[in-house]
Amino acid sequence: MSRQDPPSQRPSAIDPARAAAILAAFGAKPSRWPAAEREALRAAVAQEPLASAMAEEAALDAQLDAFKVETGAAASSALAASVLAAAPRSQRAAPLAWPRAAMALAASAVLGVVVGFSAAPFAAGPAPLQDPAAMDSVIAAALGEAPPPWFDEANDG
Amino acid sequence: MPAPAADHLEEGTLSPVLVPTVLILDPDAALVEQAGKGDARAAEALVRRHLSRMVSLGRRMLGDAAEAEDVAQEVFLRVWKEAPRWKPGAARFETWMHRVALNLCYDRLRRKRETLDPDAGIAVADGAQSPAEAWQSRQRHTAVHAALAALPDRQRAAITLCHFQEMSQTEAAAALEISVDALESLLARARRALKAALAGRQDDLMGSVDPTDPTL
Repeated sequence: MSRQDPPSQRPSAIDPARAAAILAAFGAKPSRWPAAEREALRAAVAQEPLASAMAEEAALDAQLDAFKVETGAAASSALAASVLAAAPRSQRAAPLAWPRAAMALAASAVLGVVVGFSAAPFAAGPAPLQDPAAMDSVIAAALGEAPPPWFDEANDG
Repeated sequence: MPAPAADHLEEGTLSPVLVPTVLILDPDAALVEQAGKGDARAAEALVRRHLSRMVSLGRRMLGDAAEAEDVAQEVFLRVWKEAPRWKPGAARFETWMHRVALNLCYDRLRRKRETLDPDAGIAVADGAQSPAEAWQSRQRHTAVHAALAALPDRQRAAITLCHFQEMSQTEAAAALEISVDALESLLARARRALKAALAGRQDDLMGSVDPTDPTL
């Protein structure tokens, strides 16, 4: 659905030449017609000679629509990462690497102690945090920076 | 009053930005402001919202996937440069982005000015298609691509903005820096040329639109 300008006047009869000009420029989809003339044109194209012009424009629209789908591109994650790497960064948003590493180590140590104590009664079964991925998630969560799947955008418009 | 956090700037939750002379609802204004201040999450939101659209625009204008990504990246480099000093004006931020992208495409088209390889860059294959369908699809794609490539740049841009990017007439005219009437003229000439170039291929794609369909 295209984003169209809001209608600004009530529908009224439309001059046939103007109706033909709108079809020639914007095609057969009413959502692409000028909002102010849309309703009047809807009524006019049901009758000849505009009905024929409507079919002709619809055929071109169909070809363009197929091309649109084929060329709709989801940006690659590599491109997105590259673009974001160049984004402005505040001091707070780009802390030095070593404090983050130190915080991660400290969090790991604390979690190790906690897990050691809490898992002891259940030593017969595998502790959930023995899974490296689970551990990473816990550490990230402890640091308040659980990595969101921020780039999950599928496609264009 | 503190600026809103990026968490609250997701699509659909933004307050409209009121400009003294023109009422503009720019859903990007707050994100741009925050990104310009170095807010990484606002920058990510802008990328989520616009990067794929910029890549698609580049593909449709240039017919080359790699060049389209280059254009999209260059657009965002300019976004990051502009964001700290961006002031909402008569055009939406997205319209400005389209204008930048189009100018970059024009530059590239001017530089190469060679017959575009209809087979370059764009993959059309669809795993769900039979070989015959895939062949037909590729033939159709090649014909439309060639017809679009043969259009003058401005006409191709008008079709790209209005048909492929689904921009309103006002937004497309602003991106092209022309009047709405001039846009209509460009579109009419473009569609006339496309119909002539694609004549004979329409039988297999004859479509019809019910003008009374309220979903259109």
